[in-house]
Amino acid sequence: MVESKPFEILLAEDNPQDAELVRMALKEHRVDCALRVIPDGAQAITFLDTLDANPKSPALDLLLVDMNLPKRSGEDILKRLRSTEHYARTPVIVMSGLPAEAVEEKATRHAATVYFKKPLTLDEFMQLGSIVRNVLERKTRGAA
Amino acid sequence: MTAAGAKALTAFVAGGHVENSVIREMVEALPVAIYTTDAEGRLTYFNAAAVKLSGRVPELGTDRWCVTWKIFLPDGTLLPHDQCPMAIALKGAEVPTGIECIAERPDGSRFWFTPCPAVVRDAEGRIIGGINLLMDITDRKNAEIEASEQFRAIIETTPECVKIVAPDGTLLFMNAPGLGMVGASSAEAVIGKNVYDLIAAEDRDRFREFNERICRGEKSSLEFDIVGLTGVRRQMETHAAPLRHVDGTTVQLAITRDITDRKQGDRAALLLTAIVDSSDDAIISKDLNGVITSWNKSAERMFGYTAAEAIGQAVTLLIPPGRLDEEPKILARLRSGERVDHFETIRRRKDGALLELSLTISPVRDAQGAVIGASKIARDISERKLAGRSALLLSAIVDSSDDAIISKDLNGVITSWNESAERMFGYTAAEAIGRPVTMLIPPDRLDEEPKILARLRRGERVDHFETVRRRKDGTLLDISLTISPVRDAQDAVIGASKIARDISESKRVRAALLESEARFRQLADTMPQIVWTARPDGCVDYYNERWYAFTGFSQDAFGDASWEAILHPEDLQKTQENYYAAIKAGQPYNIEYRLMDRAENRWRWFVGRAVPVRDAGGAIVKWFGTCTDIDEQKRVQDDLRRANEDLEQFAFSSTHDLQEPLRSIKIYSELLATRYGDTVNEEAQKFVTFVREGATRMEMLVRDLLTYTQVTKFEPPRETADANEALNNALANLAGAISESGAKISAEPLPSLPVHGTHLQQVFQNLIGNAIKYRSPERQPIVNVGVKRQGAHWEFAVSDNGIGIDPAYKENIFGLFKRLHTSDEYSGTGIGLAICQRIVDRYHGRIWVESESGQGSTFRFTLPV
Repeated sequence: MVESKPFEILLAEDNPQDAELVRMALKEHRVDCALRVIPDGAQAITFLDTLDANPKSPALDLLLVDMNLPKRSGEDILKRLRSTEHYARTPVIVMSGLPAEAVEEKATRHAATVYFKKPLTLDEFMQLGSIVRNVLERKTRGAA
Repeated sequence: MTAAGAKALTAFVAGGHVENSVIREMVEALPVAIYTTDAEGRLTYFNAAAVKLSGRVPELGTDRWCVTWKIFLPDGTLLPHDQCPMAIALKGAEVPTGIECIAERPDGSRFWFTPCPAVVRDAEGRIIGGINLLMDITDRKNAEIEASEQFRAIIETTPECVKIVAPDGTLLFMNAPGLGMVGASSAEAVIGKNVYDLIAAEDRDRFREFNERICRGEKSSLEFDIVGLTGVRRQMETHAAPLRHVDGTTVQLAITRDITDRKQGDRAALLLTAIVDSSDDAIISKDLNGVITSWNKSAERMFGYTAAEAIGQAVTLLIPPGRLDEEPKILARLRSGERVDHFETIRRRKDGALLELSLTISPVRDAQGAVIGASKIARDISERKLAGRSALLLSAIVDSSDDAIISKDLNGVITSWNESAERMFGYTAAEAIGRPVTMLIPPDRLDEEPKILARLRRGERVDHFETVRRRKDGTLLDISLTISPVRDAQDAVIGASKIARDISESKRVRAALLESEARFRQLADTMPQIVWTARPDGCVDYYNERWYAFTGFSQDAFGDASWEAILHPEDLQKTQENYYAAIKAGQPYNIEYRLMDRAENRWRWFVGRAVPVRDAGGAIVKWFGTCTDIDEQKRVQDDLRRANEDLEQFAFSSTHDLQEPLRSIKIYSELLATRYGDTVNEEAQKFVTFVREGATRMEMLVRDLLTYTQVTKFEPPRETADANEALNNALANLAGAISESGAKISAEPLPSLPVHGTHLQQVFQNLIGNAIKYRSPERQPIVNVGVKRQGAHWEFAVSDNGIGIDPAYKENIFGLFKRLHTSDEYSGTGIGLAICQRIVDRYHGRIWVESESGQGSTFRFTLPV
């Protein structure tokens, strides 16, 4: 991994316990990032609107989104992301407690990069850090 | 001697006073009675002829005027003596000449005479005497009277009408036969009246003109009709001549004949000729020598000879040489008065062609009954011979028919009668033919026949007229009549054919049927469902009252297809297809559809069912169907389905929602244990362990609940599942438990069956898992899986040698969350058997347990084949 600016990661997650686990997993796998956590769908969409309207086009390297959020769903956030001017190609990791078959179809439709089912054990949850790392590395290679 | 001659003679005699002896002798010898008188009338001379005529010798000089005879006028009145013609002449009066008188002799006999008195005058013209000459006219008179009497006798005895009519038409005389013809009871009824009144109106002017012509002196004849006093019309032929009447006028004397009968005879003869000529049969007559005497048009056609060519020729003209011996035999039979019927032979045409003929030859007799010839009817059967076979067949059919076949003419007289008619009515053909058909009609139905005949005369047919007729033995029959007019070749109705079918039995059957049908309808009307029946072709022929109440249709106002009109458009095609497919296949029918509920103006769900009703031979005679209102049931079902769906959705999402916090508890308690396990005291470690165990049990519960709710998501399997494979998958999932417990699992070969493989696997997994879990601590667990076929089901059995189940609980254990043990003894969620029950229920199977405490258990369940 090339030493540079930390990755800008947006996490849309209403469950603070899960947000903490994500943070732990990133730390466990030493992902150098600035993690912004937004706890509901509406706020996440407002954030994306502001970001896309910013003439400086601040970086957004990854969206981690829980599908089941208050106010607006993870799917709405995905749709909004894909329609932005500058972030349409941003990688997305979809997370959910639901079985894969219930969510995967929606995730694929909006070109999510990875689907992560929230597991019931600590070790399994920590694997998320490794997944994020891989996605970001692929993105960096693709961009280079 | 004429009157003028007598006068001259008288003058001559008187002039000479008859003194000349020559003259005297001559006068004496005259065969004419002569006498003379003086001026006083006293007789002076008479001759011998006078004595002979008068029958007495008068006294000369004493007897006056005549020879004292009693004289009568022709009308029989006595003439006074001094008024006798001689006495009148002597008074100087003129005596008419030619008068006729009757004189009576002393012996009483009478004679007719004509007197010719003349007076003798002297030179000064004084009357000095008279002479009378008497001409005996008795013979002439008697002849006259005789002729008159004969004439009267003739006119009174002639069968013809003799009448005298005045120029103005007044009837002056009519004889007795004439009175009879005009229907007059006496002469007074018509004599003196105008004869024109008796003439038929259309002939009256002609007759008047005729009468006037005759009265002008013509002789002529006339045919005319009279209408007598009694209104009877007769046809007359009159021969009339003018007659000079006593008053000097000319009148009509007529002899008139009643020709009514002759006219009818003429018509009959004309008709007969027309019939003979129009007959398709050749009709020939011949005399006993075999000479042809008449020859009709068909004979011309058939044999090619004209009547002129044939009449007078020997009938052998028509006989081919090889058959000439037939004629003498025929003639011999005819002479003996025999008839030859339907003699089939061959005759020859003028052109030499041969004809097959059927001859019927009858002797013709004169008024005295003597055979004088023969009439011969020849029918060309060249074609009929071919048609004969079909006629025979037809007659065989008529005779073999079970229906009585009768024909009758337009007067209702029976003209044919087949064998079934004999059987049915008890009369033989001989008894029936020629009798009026009314003999078959019971008295209270006699008015039917004129109506039937009237319809037949109009050419109408009477179809399946159900009525009652009477047998010879008086018993009554219910019959169905079909009567058709029979027409001749000219299409004129000449009679009728009548087919009578005995329907007594079918009437009884129908009555019984009606009764059972009435019972059926009564029953059907009390049913809460719509009940209908249909013919074998599916055409609905009955609905119960419930249908009419539901649809508002009036009975009979709608036909068979009325149900289609109130069927939901979306259901129409499917229902029609199903219905007619069922009808075609003869299979029961069962389909759900919506009908318009008129009362609530909305669609209601019905289930339509129909089954065929078959006769003893297996043929469908009827369809019996019902429409059952399942709207409520359907609605409850729908509600239930929705509730289930809601529940599933709820269960599904709630299990997930439960999982979220569960995950946090699990992961963070794990984190606590791994990171801080060493730093906290023993009690804190124990609490963390409880948290983690609780979380694990909750995880199992949530997982099982999810499985349980997902069993309701059920679609029929697309293919069969191999039970062996399902069992193996279950065993694979239980591998840990199996190896840990050392359980011995055996299984019989299992079938493939129409269920979802995962369902079967879940059942096996739960039952075998339970068998291991609830094993006896005293022995190695042994589990056996078996199966046997039970009709339409497979009956699976999972047997173990475990702790068994108290029979008191064997119904309870399949309930959700039902557990018999604490989690300390045996872990478990109380959902496993509920899942099994739910799966088996879904396939309409059954699950139960056979067990004794401590004796192991056998769980059995059935699934479809």
